[in-house]
Amino acid sequence: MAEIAAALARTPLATWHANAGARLVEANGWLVPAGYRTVEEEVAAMEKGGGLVEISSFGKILLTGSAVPILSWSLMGMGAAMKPHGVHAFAANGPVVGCRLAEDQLLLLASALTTMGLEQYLANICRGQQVSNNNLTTTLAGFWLIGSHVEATLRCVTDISLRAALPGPAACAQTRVAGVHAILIRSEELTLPAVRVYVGWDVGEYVWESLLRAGRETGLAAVGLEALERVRKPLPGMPASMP
Amino acid sequence: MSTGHESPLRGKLVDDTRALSFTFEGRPIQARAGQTLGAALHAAGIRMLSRSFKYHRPRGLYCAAGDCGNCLVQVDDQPNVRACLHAVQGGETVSAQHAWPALGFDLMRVVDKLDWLFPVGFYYKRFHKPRWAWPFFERWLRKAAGLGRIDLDGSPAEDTRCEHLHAEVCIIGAGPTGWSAALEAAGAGAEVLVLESLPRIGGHLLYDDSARPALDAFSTLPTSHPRIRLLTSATAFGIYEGNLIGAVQDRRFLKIRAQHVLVCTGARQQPFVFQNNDLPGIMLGRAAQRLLQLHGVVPGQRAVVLTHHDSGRALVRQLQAAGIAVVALVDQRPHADGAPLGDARMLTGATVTSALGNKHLKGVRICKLNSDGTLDTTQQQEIACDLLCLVSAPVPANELLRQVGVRFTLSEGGWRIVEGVTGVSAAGAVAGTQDVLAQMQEGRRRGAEAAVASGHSVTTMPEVPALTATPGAVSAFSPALLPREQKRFLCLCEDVTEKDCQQAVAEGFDHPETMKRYTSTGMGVCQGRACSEIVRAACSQLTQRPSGEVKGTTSRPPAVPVELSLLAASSFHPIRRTPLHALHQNAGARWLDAAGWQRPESYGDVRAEVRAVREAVGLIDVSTLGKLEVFGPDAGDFLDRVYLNRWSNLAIGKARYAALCLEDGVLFDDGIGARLAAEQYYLTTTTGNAEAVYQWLELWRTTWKMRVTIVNHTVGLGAINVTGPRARELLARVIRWDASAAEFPYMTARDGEVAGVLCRVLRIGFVGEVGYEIHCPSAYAWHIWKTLSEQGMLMGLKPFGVEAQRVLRLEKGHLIIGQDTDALTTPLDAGLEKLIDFNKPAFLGRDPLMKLRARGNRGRLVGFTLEDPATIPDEGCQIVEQGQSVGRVSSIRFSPTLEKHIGLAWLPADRAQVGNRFTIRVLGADVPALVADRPFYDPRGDRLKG
Repeated sequence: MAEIAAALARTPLATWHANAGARLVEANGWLVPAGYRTVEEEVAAMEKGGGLVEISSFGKILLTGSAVPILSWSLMGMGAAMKPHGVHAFAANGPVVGCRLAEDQLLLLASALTTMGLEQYLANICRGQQVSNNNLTTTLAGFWLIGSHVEATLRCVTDISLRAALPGPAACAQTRVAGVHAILIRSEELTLPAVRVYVGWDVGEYVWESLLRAGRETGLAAVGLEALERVRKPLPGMPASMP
Repeated sequence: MSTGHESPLRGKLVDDTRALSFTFEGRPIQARAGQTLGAALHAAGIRMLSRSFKYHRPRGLYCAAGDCGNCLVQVDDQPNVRACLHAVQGGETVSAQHAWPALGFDLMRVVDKLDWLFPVGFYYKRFHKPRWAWPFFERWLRKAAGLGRIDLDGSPAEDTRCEHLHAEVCIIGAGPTGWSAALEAAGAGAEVLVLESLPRIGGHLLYDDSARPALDAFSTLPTSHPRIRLLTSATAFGIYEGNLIGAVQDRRFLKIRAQHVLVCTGARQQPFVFQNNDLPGIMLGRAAQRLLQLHGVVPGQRAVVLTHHDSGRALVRQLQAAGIAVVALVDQRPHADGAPLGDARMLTGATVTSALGNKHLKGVRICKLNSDGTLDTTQQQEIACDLLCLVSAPVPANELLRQVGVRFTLSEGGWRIVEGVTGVSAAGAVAGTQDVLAQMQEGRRRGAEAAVASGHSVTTMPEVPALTATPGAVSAFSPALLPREQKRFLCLCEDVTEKDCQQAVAEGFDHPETMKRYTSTGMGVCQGRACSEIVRAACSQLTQRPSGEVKGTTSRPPAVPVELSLLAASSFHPIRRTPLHALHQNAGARWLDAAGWQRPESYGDVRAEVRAVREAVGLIDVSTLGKLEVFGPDAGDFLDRVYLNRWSNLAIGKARYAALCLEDGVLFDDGIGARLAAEQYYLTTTTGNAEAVYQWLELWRTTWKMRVTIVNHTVGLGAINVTGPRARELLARVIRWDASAAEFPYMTARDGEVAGVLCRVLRIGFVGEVGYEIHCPSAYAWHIWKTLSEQGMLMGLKPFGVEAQRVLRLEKGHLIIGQDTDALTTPLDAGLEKLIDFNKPAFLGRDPLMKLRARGNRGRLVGFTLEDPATIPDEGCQIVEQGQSVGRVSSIRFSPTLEKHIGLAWLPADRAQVGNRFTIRVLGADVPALVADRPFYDPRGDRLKG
């Protein structure tokens, strides 16, 4: 076998970020955009016009099966995610957001660039349960849409009523965004209004560009992961910012 | 220089401090911010703005509200802009359209004089004899028809966007009624969205100052509310099923969903019918009011007002207050109020029979009416004027309501709703209520009801206003009793005259719906807003049927013209990209759309790509293939039931060709399947059917209640096929495991690291060479492709695209589902009989396939070569025998390897023997071909399995 460089995982937007002048850095085996401008400028941009951050590299695990209700209870207690469309943040070897997509589907979103800790945690919890554990990290592209114009931006790309579909501060819904299937998640993880958008890896770049186009009037701009960490709220018992 | 058209009043929509300019027909025009093009042109003394659709007659401002097509102009590269609505931005180049060589001197005006040649429906009657003449005239007529010219070379508008809005109550119209309703609904707790076509709330109170008590009442209302979202300059054009409202605002297409829709669109005036009733200088009374009050423009210097309604007197007062000399008020009612109004002569029981002038109004001819409504031709007079205001009884602007099925009737008391629709209501003038204070009261009531319908409660439900009689709610149409020297227009947009409608009735088109189709009334820009009532009244009188028995035409969206670019803004065109997209782009890929995916068709030189695969090694991105994992205790049995061959007996680590049928035995899809563990299978599908096969498996899994889980990895895994005689050598450079033919033989599968990434590798081949299909997490596909490319650089490696793959597979004789098959092809036809395990107790399509097998084959997919390569057939060309089609060519390519054209074709089974000759019809010529043995290349499969 020849000498081969270490494998580096790329998000569906890695080339887009590079072409847009992002500072690409290596983190936990992923090539991710640290930022396009200074962190302060990007935080200010998020507060003013809104920011779009790619988080495709963050771990995503889908639990499916009849044991999902009991597993939800084991993982999150009587949190909001006990019911379909509920969302609850908790700690599982790192900050995790549980999204109850359906009665028998729980999507777990790691707020870090690796699912290793979460997978270890789940291995113990899921043992012997009627549940299928599917790592969707490279199946779903994910974005944080941040800022006070989130709803105005999403109104241009989805026909659902966000107030009805994502009631309250933490909720999730499945709908179409820019004509493709998407999962929308509202949670209280950030200090600014924000919605996570998850779509297929193959349409990641298309949806990213559609969102930027939709938010052009309100000043939506691409933002890096460093600025995202600045607006992250601390989870109870967890540091505000992930390494 | 003063044109005499500046108003002493300040326009309510005009910012006097901002001067703007634009050009019209090359002439610089000054405007003030907020003015429309039409108002600015009128202020500049320009009366003629356009030429009419058929007769090229001069036309000017008529409704000043976007309800007619009289003021269509070209603004920069945009045709058919309504000058009365387009607010001047500054710098526009405005030109007239539909006139040649110039607006003021249009040679096509000759059509007006030759009207005997163009009666209604002339294209069914004229120019057809002699027969050879029609193609010529058809071309000429098509060229002459239509309004405006689209710049076909220009880039499409990309500044439009679509926005989805939601509200509990959506109120269309923010006049006194709509705004009162909005405040009431919001006060009851409802989230209210208000659409107003004007830039401000107030509706007709903005320009009609006759309803003083209502103005005072309206001015006390709050102008905002925290639960009201007001969208000004927003026009609703349709209400669709489920209370979906289509609207436009600036460059935005709004799709609004509301629990309850309240329509408060008011009413509009209708044209009067008399000779030359289309001359510039004739306009609706409200148009004159709008020019005066909204834009600060004097509509004329010497005015006549024609009316049959009390509001005619109010207009006279308003014009006089603006300094306009009103020379006469002509009231058709014999007993109208004849009290003097300043210097205006009061002519009651009279009407205007003719407008005088050529390019614009110079005077009117007035005739006394007898008590029975007929004309007393002994009492006629002519009055010089440059402005004729038409003030008819208001007709509800109810097209949106009629779209959803609300029915109206005209009774003695005016227009009334006789049939409503759940979830949609109306208030104000659109519902037939005329008094403005009563309209506001009704608005409050309907607003409260809408809030209640949306789940809110009100402490006190506002009272319903008492019905008031509508004075003078009569038709503005009266049949001509004078010789028809000049045209009397019913439909201005389409140039349809009273005579045309008479002709239509004489030919049997005696209902507004059939009359519309025959004469095209209401098919123009106004979509019937300006003319539908006048045409309905005309139809009633011409057919001598009572008005109540003649129903109007059906209203359909869009009620107002909407730019196609705005409608297009609501559609999305998702683009699916593989993880290697940017690498292909950098390598010069030419793209092919395949089931929404962008795939490299080639990288420039297909033959070189084919040669690289045959002689060295090639790489192709096959990430678009469907990738399904099927696992569980019943996985083997499940696949036995779905696929044609048997899967439960497949050894672990082995792979098989996988084909499946629908229940009717028609070939559905194919791919490769591998058994990874006792209860775990991995299947690939074609690119186009990936989602369909997944759904198909899910359907039968749930139907049969089998203990199986199906996971769709199509987008989660990238896939790269490395193939060619040096493929194994290349793979060996990036793996630490043994990929030799002995350890990893043909049709096997395993998991193993490739370039440091854990992958699933299938030892399969589609192109007839040693091949490995590497499936890896999408995020690592880039790394693996780059590594293979670097390591294969000195081996002659080339990336190859879909086109080279098609050539290579054709050399190998493989079919492609969808290209070589159609919606009737069975696996028996396609030569896959050996694959089918009829010994299985059941599988999808078994019974029909058994019957077909017993009946014998209908057709066969065969390989062929051309005997004479001088003419190359295209795919889809028919195979003919004695002039009859007996088959078709499904694939054909030039094979660089075999240096000749080869293909696949469908032939009747009895003509499918190798060596048979057949004929392909190519553009009328017959091309001889020969059935050939397939595969064409490496028939024993030594290279593939080696």
